Amino acid sequence: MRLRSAMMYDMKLQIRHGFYYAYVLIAAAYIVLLRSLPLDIRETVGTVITFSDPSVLGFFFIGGLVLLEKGQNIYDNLFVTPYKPEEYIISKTLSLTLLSVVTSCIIHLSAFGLHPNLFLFLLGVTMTSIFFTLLGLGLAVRCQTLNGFFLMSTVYTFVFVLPLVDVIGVWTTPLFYFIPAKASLMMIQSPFNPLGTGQMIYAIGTLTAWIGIAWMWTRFSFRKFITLQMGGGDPQ
Amino acid sequence: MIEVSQLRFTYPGSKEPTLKGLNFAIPKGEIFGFLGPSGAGKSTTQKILIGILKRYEGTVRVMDRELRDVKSDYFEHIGVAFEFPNFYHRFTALENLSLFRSLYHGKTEDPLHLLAMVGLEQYASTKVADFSKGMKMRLNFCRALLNHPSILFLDEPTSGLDPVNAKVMKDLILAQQAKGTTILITTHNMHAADEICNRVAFIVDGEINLINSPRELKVQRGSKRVRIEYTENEHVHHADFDLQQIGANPAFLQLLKNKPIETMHSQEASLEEIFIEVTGRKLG
Ligand SMILES: Nc1ncnc2c1ncn2[C@@H]1O[C@H](COP(=O)(O)OP(=O)(O)OP(=O)(O)O)[C@@H](O)[C@H]1O
Ligand SMILES: [Mg+2]
Repeated sequence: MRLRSAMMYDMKLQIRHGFYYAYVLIAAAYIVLLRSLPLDIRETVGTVITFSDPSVLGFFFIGGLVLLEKGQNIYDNLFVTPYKPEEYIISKTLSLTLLSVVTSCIIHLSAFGLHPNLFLFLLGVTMTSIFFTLLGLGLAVRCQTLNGFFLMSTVYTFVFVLPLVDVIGVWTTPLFYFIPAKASLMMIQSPFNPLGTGQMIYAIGTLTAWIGIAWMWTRFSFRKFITLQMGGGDPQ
Repeated sequence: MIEVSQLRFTYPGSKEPTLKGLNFAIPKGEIFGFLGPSGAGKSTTQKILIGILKRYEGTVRVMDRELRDVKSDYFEHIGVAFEFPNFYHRFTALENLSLFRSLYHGKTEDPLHLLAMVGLEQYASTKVADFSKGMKMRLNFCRALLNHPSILFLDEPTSGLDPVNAKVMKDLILAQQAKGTTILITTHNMHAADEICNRVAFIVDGEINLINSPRELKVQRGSKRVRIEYTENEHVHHADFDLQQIGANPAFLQLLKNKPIETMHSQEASLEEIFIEVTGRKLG
């Protein structure tokens, strides 16, 4: 009940701040770009684009949202109600994930048409979005300004999106298998390169584990940097 | 309603405790004020009573529950307004209140009704970004009342308000007390505290020096003097006399007999002067 209502208001807030328009514009631009490309490179570019949507884009959007709420000191009022920080994290994450999944789906269908293998693809987008939104949230609560967040985020995103160089065929190493983006990319590419059972287990297992780690880290960051600093006190 | 004994608290990472053994009890329906200079520990005490800081030593019982063990449902029963009124700027007043209202399980108040109570009904669909400070403070007060709280915590409720708005806020607080709500206020503003608090606690360096009603304090500690204003050579002069044995004070009697008296006022010490006398500290 409370979670559903919180998600509704989160989406309303995202609309009010123009997130949906931004996503529509970006998706339209991607679709035009993809449709203008020859089929052989369209798949590679499509994979990179569909990956960047829930990951890099989601990461920056959550950062923007959190810093906006921090700037308006919303937390002082939000967490003197029965609303739990965990519910807040879930509401933010799921509302942004929904946006990512819908846009990724539209981009994919417009560029490549209907595939039989869309389930793994969508699951990949969903899990990627959850992971990167949690990561962005955990990072944003540690930052005071948007510039600070951008600076820090280049480091974080760089490490976590590194396996992209494999997709575009620049370089590869087995170490990439430890990075969640490797699993994300395999699932997002699955309409073109179907996965075997072992690969499927690997991809889903890796993303699940990383989401678990990100969840704990974000919850910890939230408690330390938001809950304990509430009501002014010492801004440090 | 609230019983606190031997409350000690140390922020993680600091060496010195911020609260060094506080004892006080607040009965239902009282307006209780925490007065003290910056850094005294007022907000820290409030954050413990609100249930945000749980790693305290001693006992803190609110509505017969030890706060260390309460879960988030505790927030169903209290209302909190921190010093700075914070809202979603892109949402209207009504949207903001509806959002916060939806976070409660229990019975809640109609936001429009609350807005009318504080005189903001015609601004229900105005974005909060366009609100003045005084309007935001009133909106914040509405927000704290959404869940029919039994206890209301107000941090600096009149800070930054002009006298008219400060008066509005004081009346709103008194109206809540009339409904039986227990109210805790932290403030630097002695004048506001004097006007609305049933009792005040002086807190300095994490310790309570004194708890009493402002009226009682002034009677006990007042300087008991009277100031006479009189005219002489078309100018107004004044003279102060000790109230003790004033009927046998020749200077006083002479003055009454020989000069045209303009005014006579007994001189009470202000709460601020008493604070300085008791604690040796100024309110910063
Ligand atoms: N989150 C924190 N971490 C560490 N120390 C803190 C924290 N918050 C407050 N303090 C310290 O605790 C002491 C009491 O602070 P508190 O905010 O309770 O004072 P206050 O009486 O509310 O002051 P003010 O009138 O300025 O609001 C101060 O010395 C402050 O530096
Ligand atoms: Mg304070």
